[in-house]
Amino acid sequence: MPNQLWRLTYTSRRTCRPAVADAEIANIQSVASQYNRRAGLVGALVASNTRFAQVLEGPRDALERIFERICCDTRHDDVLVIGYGPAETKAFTDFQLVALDYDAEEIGESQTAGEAMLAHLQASMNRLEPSSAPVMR
Amino acid sequence: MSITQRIDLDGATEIDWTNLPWGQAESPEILRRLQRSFQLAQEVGRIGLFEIDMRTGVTYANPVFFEHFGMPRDRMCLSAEELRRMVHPDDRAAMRSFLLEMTHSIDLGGVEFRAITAAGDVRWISVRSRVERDADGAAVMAYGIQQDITDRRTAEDEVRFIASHDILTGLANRKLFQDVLKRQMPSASDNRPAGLILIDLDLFKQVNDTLGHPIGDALLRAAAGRLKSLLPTDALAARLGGDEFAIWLPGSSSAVADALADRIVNLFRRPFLLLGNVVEISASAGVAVAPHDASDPDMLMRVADLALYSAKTAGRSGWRRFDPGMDNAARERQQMTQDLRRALALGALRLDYQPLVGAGSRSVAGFEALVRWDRPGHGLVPPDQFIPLAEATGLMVSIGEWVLNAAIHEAMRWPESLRIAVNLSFRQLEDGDRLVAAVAAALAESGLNPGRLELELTENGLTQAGPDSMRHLHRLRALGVRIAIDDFGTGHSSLSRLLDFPFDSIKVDKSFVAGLGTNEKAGALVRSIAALARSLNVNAVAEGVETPEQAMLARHDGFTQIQGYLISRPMAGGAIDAYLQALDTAKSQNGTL
Repeated sequence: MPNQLWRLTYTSRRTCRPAVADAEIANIQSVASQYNRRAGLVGALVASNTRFAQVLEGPRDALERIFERICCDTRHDDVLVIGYGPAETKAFTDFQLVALDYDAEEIGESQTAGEAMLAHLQASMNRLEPSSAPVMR
Repeated sequence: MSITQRIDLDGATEIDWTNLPWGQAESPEILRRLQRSFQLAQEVGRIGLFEIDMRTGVTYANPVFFEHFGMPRDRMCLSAEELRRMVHPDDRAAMRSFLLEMTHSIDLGGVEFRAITAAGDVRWISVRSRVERDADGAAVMAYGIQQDITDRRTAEDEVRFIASHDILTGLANRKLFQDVLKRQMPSASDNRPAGLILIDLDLFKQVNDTLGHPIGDALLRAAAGRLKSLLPTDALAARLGGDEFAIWLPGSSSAVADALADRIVNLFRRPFLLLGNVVEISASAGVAVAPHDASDPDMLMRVADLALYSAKTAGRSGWRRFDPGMDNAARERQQMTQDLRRALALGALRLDYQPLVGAGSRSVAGFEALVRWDRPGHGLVPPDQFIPLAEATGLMVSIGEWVLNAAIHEAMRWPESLRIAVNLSFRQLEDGDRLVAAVAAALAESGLNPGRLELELTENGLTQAGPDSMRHLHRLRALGVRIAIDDFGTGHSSLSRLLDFPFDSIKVDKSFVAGLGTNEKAGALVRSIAALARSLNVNAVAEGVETPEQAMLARHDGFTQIQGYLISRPMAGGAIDAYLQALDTAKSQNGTL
C-alpha cells in the first residue's frame, strides 16, 4: 500500500527566546509550506509562545523523512509523538500555520498547554480518527 | 634493404615475413596500409597522440587527443597556456613537476591528472611520454600518448569508498576512522586539542530482536543522519560496527566536544519513525580529548571507551568525559575478571544450597544451588558483583556449566524426592544449542532423573536473551527438565509476553515478599501473582521469607513453596545430610508428642 495515507501528530517545546520567535514563525511558515507542498504533505502547525503542536498527513515515507528533519531542528526540544498511523481520509487540504498568542506558563502546567494546543488542532480538523502505531519504549 | 628472409624456429614452424604488410615498409602501398591500421588503432583504442615543442611549449596532437578535452577534433595545436588551463587546479602542481622532470632529468615518464573539458566535465587522463634531446642534452621535443582513464578511476574510487566506508550508513568505517586518527592526532596540542566521541545506541539489540532487522537497519541509517546533522566542518563521523559510532573533532576544545556529546544524547532521545513504527531509544556517549587524556590513537580510543562504559553503567542516555578514576575502575574489573577465570580453572568456586519447602507442610522439596566465590585477598565476593562481570566478559557460559554439573553431582547423593534448582544466565540461553547440549550431557552422565532438575531464569534474563529463547526453553523442557521464572516482578517485560514462555514455577522476588503484611500494594500484587500461578497450574514460590508472619501470609495467599532465612540460610553441600536428618528427627519427635 505505497499510496496509503498516514497521519503524524507530535508536540514539542520551543527552545527559542520569544524575542526572535516571530521571525522564527515566519521562517518556518515559508520553509515548511514549500517543503511540504513538494513532498505531498498537508497539515497544520500550531505555535504558542513556548510550544509547538503539529499534524502532518501524507505518504508514510515522506512523513518519516520530514520527521527526521524536524527532529534535527534545534528550535525545539522534548519532541513527543502523540499519534502515528494510517488514516482513512485527509483532514487537511493544505499546510496551515496557526500562531497562538499565549504562554504555556500562563496557562500553568506545560502538559495542559500542550493539550490545549492539541484541542485547538483537533478543532481545526474536520475529522480526526484515532490512529496509532506500536510505540516501543 | 631486403627483409625477405626465413626464420627456422627449431624446424617446427616457418614464418614468411614477406607476407606481413610491414615487411616491406618502403612500398607506398604498405605505408598506406600501415597508416590505415595505425589510425584505426588510435580511434578504436581512443589513444591520443601528441608532440610538444619544448622550446615554444606548443602541443601538436591527433583528433582523439582533442576529443579527450572535449575540443573539436579538427584542432591541430594547443598553446602552453591553453594546455595549463585544461588541467584541474588541484593537479596543476603535479603536472608542473612532471613537465620539469621531463625537461631536466628523465627521458621517459608518465602522469595521471584530471582534465576539465571544454564542457566543464572532469575526466581522468593518463599520459606517457618520451623526450628527445639535442647534442647538449637540452630537451627539444616531448612526444607521447594519452588515454582517458575516467572509468577505471571511478571504479577505483568506488572500491576505495567501499573499502573505507560503512555501506549501510555511508559513514566512514573503522579502518578509515583509525587511519584519520593516526594521521591527525599527532598535530593535536594543548593549544589546539582534538576530541573523540564514542557513541553507542542503548536498546539497539532489543529493536533488532523485537521489530526485525529491516527496522534495525533503518534505525542505524537514521542515527547516522542525526549524527551528520550535528557535525562541524572537518569533523569525521564513523560507524565502527554494530550500533557503535564515533566522531573525530580535530581542533576542538574539550568544551566543544562536551557540548556536542550533550547535543547527541539529547537528539537521540527524540523518537524515530521507522517503516511505520514509532521507535524510542537513547544513546550513551564517552568523550576523550587529545593530548590531555591520551598520547596515541589506541589509548585515546580506549579511554573514550571507558568514558562510554561509565556513561552506560550510570544509567544510559547520558555522556561522560573521561577521567583517570575510570581507568582505575577498569583495571580493577580486569583484575577481578582474571581472578575469576583463575578461580574457575582451579576449581575455587563452590556452591551453597538453600532449601525450598512446602508452604504448608514445611517439608523440603529441594535446594537451590548458589555459586560462591572466595576471592583470595578480598573474601567472599557477592554474586551481584561477579556474575555481571562474568556475563560481560564471556566467562558466564563456562561458569554456568560448572554450576550445572556440580549441582547435579551433589543432588545425586540426595533422596530421590528432592529437586535441585540451578540458575541460568541469559548468556547461556543466548547460545541455546550449547546450553541444551550441556544439560542433556549432564543428565546423561549423572543419570539424574530430569524431573528433579529445575532451571531458573530471571525475568530480565528472559527479555535479554533474545528472540530464540522461547524455542530453547521448549527444547529444554522436552528433555524433561523444569523451568522457573526467577525474581518475578522486577523486570520490565510485559506480562502477556512473559506468559508465552513455557515454565513450571514462578518465584516472586523477595522485594515483594518483604512487603507482605506491611505494604498494602505489595500484598495485593503478591496475591494476584499467586492466583495467576494457580490458574496456570504452576508452582508459586515466595522468595526471601524472613518472618513467621510472611510465611503465614504466603501460605494464606496461595503460595505452594517458600524459601528464605526463616527456613534456612544457604548451606554447604556437606551440611545437607545433617540438616535433613535433623528435620526428620524433629518431625518424628513431633509425631510422638
